[in-house]
Amino acid sequence: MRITRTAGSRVRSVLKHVGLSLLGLLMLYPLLWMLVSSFRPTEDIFSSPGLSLEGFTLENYTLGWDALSHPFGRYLLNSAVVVLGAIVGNLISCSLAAYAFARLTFRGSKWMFGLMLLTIMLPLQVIIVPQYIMFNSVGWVNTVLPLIIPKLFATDAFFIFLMVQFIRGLPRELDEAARIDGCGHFRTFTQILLPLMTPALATTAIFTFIWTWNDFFSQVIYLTSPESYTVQPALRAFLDSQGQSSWGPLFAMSIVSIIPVFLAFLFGQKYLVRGIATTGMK
Amino acid sequence: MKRTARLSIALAGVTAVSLALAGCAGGSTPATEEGGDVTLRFAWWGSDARHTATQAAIDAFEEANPGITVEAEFGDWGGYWDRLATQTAGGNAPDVMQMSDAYLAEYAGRGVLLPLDDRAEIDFSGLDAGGVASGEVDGKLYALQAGANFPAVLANPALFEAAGIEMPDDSTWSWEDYVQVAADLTKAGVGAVGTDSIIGDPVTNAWLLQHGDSLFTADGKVGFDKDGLTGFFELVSELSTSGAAPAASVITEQMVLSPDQWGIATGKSAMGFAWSNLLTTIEGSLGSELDLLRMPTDSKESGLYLRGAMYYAISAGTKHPVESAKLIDFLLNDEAAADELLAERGLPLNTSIREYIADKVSDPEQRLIAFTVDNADALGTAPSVPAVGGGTYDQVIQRGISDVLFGTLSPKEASERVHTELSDLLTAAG
Amino acid sequence: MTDTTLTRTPSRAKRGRGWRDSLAAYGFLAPWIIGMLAFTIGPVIASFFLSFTQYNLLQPPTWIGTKNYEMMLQDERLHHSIGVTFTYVAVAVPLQLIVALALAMLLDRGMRGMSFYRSAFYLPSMLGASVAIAVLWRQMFGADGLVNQVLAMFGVEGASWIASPDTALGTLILLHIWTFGSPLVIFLAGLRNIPRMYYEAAQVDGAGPLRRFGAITLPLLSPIIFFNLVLQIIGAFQTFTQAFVVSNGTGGPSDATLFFTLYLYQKGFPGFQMGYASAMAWLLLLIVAAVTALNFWISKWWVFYED
Repeated sequence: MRITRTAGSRVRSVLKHVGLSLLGLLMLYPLLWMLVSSFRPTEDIFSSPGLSLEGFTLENYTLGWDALSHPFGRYLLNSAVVVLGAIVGNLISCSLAAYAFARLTFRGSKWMFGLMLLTIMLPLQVIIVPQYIMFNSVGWVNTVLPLIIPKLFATDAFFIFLMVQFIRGLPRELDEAARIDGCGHFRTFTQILLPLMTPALATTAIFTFIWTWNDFFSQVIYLTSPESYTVQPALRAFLDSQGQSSWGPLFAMSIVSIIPVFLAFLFGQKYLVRGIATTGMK
Repeated sequence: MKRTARLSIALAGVTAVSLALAGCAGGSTPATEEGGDVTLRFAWWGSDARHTATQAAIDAFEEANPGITVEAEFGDWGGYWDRLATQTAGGNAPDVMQMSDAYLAEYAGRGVLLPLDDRAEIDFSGLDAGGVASGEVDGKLYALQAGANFPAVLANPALFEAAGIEMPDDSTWSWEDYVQVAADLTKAGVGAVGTDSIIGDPVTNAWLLQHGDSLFTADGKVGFDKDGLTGFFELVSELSTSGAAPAASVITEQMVLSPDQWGIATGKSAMGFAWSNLLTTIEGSLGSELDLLRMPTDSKESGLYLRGAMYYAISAGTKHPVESAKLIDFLLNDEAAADELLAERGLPLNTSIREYIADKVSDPEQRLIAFTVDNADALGTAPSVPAVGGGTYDQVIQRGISDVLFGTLSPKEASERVHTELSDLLTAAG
Repeated sequence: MTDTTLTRTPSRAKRGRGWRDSLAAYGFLAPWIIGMLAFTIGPVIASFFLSFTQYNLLQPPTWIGTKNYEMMLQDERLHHSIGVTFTYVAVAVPLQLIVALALAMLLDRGMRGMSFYRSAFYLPSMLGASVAIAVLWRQMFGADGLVNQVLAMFGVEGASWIASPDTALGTLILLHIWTFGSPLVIFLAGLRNIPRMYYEAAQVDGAGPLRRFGAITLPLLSPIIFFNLVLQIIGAFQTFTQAFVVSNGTGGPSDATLFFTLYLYQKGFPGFQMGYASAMAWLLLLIVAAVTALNFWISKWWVFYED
């Protein structure tokens, strides 16, 4: 009886792994194709089928790295600056706002919350022109300021909402207890809730990283001189819908540009799962 | 420095925070008056090859003009226009910009480009007069061609040979001949269809010219009547139903592909329509040589003309009109610039530069230049650039083509819809 | 920060608490309020104003009253784009969330190789809306793409999936599902916050996996599910980049992928009708706000908070 059950569960576990691996492979196929293609000579990219690699070359990487006016590392660095600023900004400002929305009762909380949600809903495309005019008038164009400073003031309402939902999922007795012990709001927030919010903070950091890293529209509009270019505008410079596109270098540099994101995720994912279960509170 | 800071503080009155933070801004506006040093911003779109060539030409310009620094702003086509429109809205347009014929009237007609007629810094003597005229809007010159191209049929001689079909005589062929040859090619079963890349403006423009029409008129109206494109859409439909062209979805897919992936560039099609400057790209992708042919025609008009593929223009708001004009003059007329730019943007506007680079350019470009010389007698006048509001005409036509191919619209309906939509665009632009 | 001084003296008097809470709340919200006033409100009001003007970006706007809104009533492409967008929201969002939740459940319970799978499933989302996506999607669903190569093995000749009006939207829905990494990560984080002892207790009581899911996971995860739902719906209404990149900005073939925001962009930027585009943005805001409000209203019946 007992033996058959373990055998059964082992079969089930193997099936699960096989299924997940197949699904993973299917999902990764386009990316693998891009990886393989980045090692192909340009003329083979669209003529070679599937994932077969005949003529291996690193040319795309060397060409792509130096193709634009600055080495590609420069664009990676610029993106990194913007990303870091945005992460710090979002983590601090959004968590503060989220605490107020989730745990405090105050006059106007309902409509302020609604207002916050509304700001997520208006498409960027119509905001960007007035915003540009505003930032241009204070001389911020062609600096990273328009991309970072607003984040310090919780303009990415998405993350406020994320953290609000997260905090509301945490038992209220925890901070009630802290309050009774004489903790003020700020200490309750920093010492009780913040550690418990690690997964939400990690999610915020990772998402901010990826979204900012992949953002094209606002970066192409605010950063105009080549030395201030970030990754996405630089990548698009390989494409010319009107003529010659450099597919090989595009793929090679796309791979290069995913690496930091991937590393950030690999490093950050252990914080994603640091829930109550692992912090020892319960 | 102090002035900039004070200025930004004054302007920052809009918001409390910008006010508080304005101190850390500053410094980004170049100092202009002192020392005669001038910084120009020069923006263009294109591929990395263009960026390299243009940057080299800029270096040559800076060397020849000490005291002028040129800051490059380059990017892809889509991002370029979004940014340029936003910058213009913010009163911060680059001094010198690459302009497309599609948006030339839009920008010039809105008064944001500087008229170039009387700029003494630009030497007009060597420039092709017809080419210069193509940069005029409402009788004033706003832009100068950075390069010209022409509508052409590209044909793959190897596939013709494999199919046992003779290369047609492009000085006499009609559209019916074209459909016939293409259908025969497909039937020959050489692993390719007869034609594809029926995807927009080179054919439409040539076809309208052959019928005495044009997409737009010089006074900013639609240049054909409601039925004017019916014949064109019938042709599209015939190419598809006769088997001359591939399946509807394959043609439609090419509308979003870049030219190096079109059927003619991958050997999956024996003929295709293209702007001539794509020859290098397409041959590069195909790996073998293509023949350049004139468009078929049913009238005395060949439909062949030199089109301003791209222009250089100056922002009306520039603080340095003299230096900006100098830069354009250098790019157009100086051999040092020509050494770098060659024919990357198309045939040079300056006829002696055209000769100067003739044996320097790559082989496909040499054949392009030779083609314009050989067919000089067939060259007609270029149609007017798209009217204000009509910059997105190509998408309207492409949608018409795919609706005809998928059978949702009849050729007549497609022609009417294209006409209505283009008229609406012009009306909306007011 | 102001709130430290506020809270330094622990309050015993109950009367003062509401007032103190409010003050503390404004302290916590100060960055957000400043951000709203400084960076958001201005452009939002500007776009509202522009929606009553004709504005071509190159010249100052001219006031035309409600004409843009009247024009929207007659704009058939606009109505079509609303249809496309609603279809997309109704199909892509639930599918993606179901896939993400199912995989999150599978991956949650300390299984071997979990971080590997998590990374593998997340990788596509990292590519986001990079230009490379366009090429990859064509490589999968184009006329010569992988799908057709597989079909060819079975003797079926497929058309171009991304360029046929009937299937193009479907490929974009698949693209959306493909990037289920973001909701997956949020689900995983949420699952970790469900105290284990609940499950242990349920197991002792003899509750099966289905029952445990219905009685523990679903209610306790409901704030997170709700969050994902609300945000994914808002995001799906604003879908732009994927459609832009795959159709090269056209919304083709034959407007099959003409999402609302893509049409708005076409009008605003390449079309130089920013006044009209702004009016469209406000219509979108109205639609999304209504849907979100409905969502919040319905949530009363199925979302449980630890309050």
